[in-house]
Amino acid sequence: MSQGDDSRILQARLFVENEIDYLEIDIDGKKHRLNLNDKDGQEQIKRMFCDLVELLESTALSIELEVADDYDNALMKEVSESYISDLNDELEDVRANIVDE
Amino acid sequence: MKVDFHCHTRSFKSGDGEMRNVNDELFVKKITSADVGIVAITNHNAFDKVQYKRLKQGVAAVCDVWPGVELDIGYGDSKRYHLIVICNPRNIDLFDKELRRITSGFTAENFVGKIDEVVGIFDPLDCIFMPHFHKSPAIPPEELEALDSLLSNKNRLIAEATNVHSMGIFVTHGVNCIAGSDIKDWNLYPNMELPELRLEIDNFEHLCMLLDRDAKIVKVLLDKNNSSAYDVYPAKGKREIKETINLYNEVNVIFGDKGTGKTEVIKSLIETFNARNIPLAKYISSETAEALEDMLRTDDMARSAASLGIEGCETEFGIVSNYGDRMPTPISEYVDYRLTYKAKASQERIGWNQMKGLADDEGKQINKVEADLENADSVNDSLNKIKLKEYLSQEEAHSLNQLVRLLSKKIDQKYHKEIIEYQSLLLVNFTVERYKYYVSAKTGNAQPPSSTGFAKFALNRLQLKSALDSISKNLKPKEDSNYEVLGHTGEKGRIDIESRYRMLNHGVSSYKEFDGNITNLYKVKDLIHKVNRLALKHNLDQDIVELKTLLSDQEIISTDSFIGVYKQTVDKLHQPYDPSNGERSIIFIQRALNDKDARVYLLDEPELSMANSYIDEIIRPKISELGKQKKMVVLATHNANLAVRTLPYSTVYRAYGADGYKTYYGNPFTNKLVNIADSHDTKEWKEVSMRILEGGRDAFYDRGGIYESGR
Repeated sequence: MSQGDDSRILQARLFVENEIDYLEIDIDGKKHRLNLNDKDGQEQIKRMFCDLVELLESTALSIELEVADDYDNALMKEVSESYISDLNDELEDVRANIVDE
Repeated sequence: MKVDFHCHTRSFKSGDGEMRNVNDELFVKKITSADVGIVAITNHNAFDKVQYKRLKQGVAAVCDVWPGVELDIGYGDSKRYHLIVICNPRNIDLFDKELRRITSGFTAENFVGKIDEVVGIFDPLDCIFMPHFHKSPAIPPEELEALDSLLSNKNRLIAEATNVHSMGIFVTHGVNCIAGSDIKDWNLYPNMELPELRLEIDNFEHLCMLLDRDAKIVKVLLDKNNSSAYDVYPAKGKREIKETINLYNEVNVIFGDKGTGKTEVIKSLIETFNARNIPLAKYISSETAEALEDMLRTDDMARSAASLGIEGCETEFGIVSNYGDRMPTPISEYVDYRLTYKAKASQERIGWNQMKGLADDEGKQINKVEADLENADSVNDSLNKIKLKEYLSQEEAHSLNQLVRLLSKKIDQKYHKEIIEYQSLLLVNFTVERYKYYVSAKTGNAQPPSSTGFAKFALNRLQLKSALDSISKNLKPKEDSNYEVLGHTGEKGRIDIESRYRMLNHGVSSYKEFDGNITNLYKVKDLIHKVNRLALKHNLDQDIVELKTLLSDQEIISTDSFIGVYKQTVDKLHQPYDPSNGERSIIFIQRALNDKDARVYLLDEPELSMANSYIDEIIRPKISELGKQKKMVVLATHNANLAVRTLPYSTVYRAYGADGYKTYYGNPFTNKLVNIADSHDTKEWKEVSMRILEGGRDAFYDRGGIYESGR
């Protein structure tokens, strides 16, 4: 991923709480908590996407995944890594599109 | 034809001055250029037969010259007035002889004749007598009475007024009157407006017969102009009541009391000429408000973005109307895939299972280059319309053409490259998806998600925002007007019709500017701005649904729907201005009379809401001018200036009495109006016109000053 000087890195954290696995992405202090055990959850993702698009209009973005020290669910780790990886690719594509415009 | 019945050619009295002497060459030149048809030579107390014959011969091709004299006539205690005597040219020798006899022993300077003696000598010689009337030295009333009583034919008495305007006043008041140049300096000839005879006469006898109101000669002279019979319907909605009247390609007047159907006659003529496709100009005084209303209709104004030089945004409205969010991929798909994924060695080896599709801009880049290609073509077309050689050297023109062609070529190359790349991308993505599908089917594993859905979601939202940005930009307040001359009024000057195109604007636009409901348009416009603000926000759903519904309900597919069209009357400073009744009348009568394409002019009561001075100085001369051009003018009027001073070739008089409605037909030249249904029932034209036209003889005299207003 090529990033210019104005690119920003956002933090994503994988953790468990009350036996629910969460992937929480921090966008300028606004924390989007995605329930990895939820079959749907698209509305929550839409909220996050909206904030990402708005921010992406002014700067390139990428997301770093941080796994909580006590987290031990290997499956969800793989899922989160794969998801964040895909998301980063798409953030780059969209940013390129915005810059082209 | 112009006539000059008071013309000096020699200075006989000391007060005449040398400039009254005219040589043959100047006489011919002046008479010809003034387009005078008849001149009577009327020098003071003398007649120069030799000069008369020379001058007559000199202008024979263009003008007839009659012999005459201006005599000093004494009365009372050594007072005097001037009397012009014009003789039948056939009797020139006798006239010359008798004048020499009566003035024998006198000079032109000291001759003073007696009225009974002068009439006794010249009356048998077939003469016309023209005393100065309200013109110094003027004939007093008792002498006028004496002159009248002495003449064998009282029709041979014509008063001479100071000028044509005064003449008009006297004629309107029932006085047989004329004016002449009374020229004092031939370099200035004609020093005044000369009177015109309405009927083209050929000789002295014709004039005398006209003075006698001889019906036969009047008909002969009238019929030199074309005329046709027309059916008219004076009773509204009653086609069974029909009259047939003869109308000339000249001025024709309809008068009568109110409620006798004059307007209906005009309207039925409008129908007749329209049915025959004869170009006509009309003026109905009671319908000027409706006529203006018709002109202010906006049916002919197209609501189009081009009228304001903005974009129609059809594509953008299409994007908004069809908008729906692209939903994100649920994370559960990632979970499912990982749960069922079996890391078989073969799959690891192939590795394609991990492949992702390429970012798809849905052809945006192609569209952009395609638009550039169209723009380049347009530049090329525009360039071809310019004659470059007029501005550039051959070398410069060649370079410019080469550069434009190169630009088109490069854009075209890029366009084709973009198409190939995009089709390749689609093929790659299709292949990846199909591969994953087959692997999934073969292994029983869940298909790996192709993306989080972010790119599609984001690009979709960004496209919506871009469309709304473009629409909002084009909905910004803007207006443009063009102006068409409606007419000219006296005080306010020019009045224009402003055709205005205006983008819907809060607090400024009026509901009149739109066909549909302006409230809904405001709602849509506000919602467009709101959705634009929310385009990248999570809470967009409700507003975009409402906007889409409104766009669909109001059938809005472009910015055209937001363009208001309006017409209004404006003054010369382009400020809104509602012409008054009078101004409206002036404007519409002008429009009718200035319509050069019309062959027929149908005018109903043009005098309403207009000053008499305006009618007499502007309207009447224009009507007379149209008559001279052999255009048919039919005029329903109560105004004496129009009805009398235009000397109409035909007159229709509508009367209502105890035995119902009657229609009389005639003309002022015979002074007779004949009942169309009963030829024995006749009326005097002069008497009827005086009674009907604005209140009768007394009112005429009371208003003498009004008719002379502005003088």
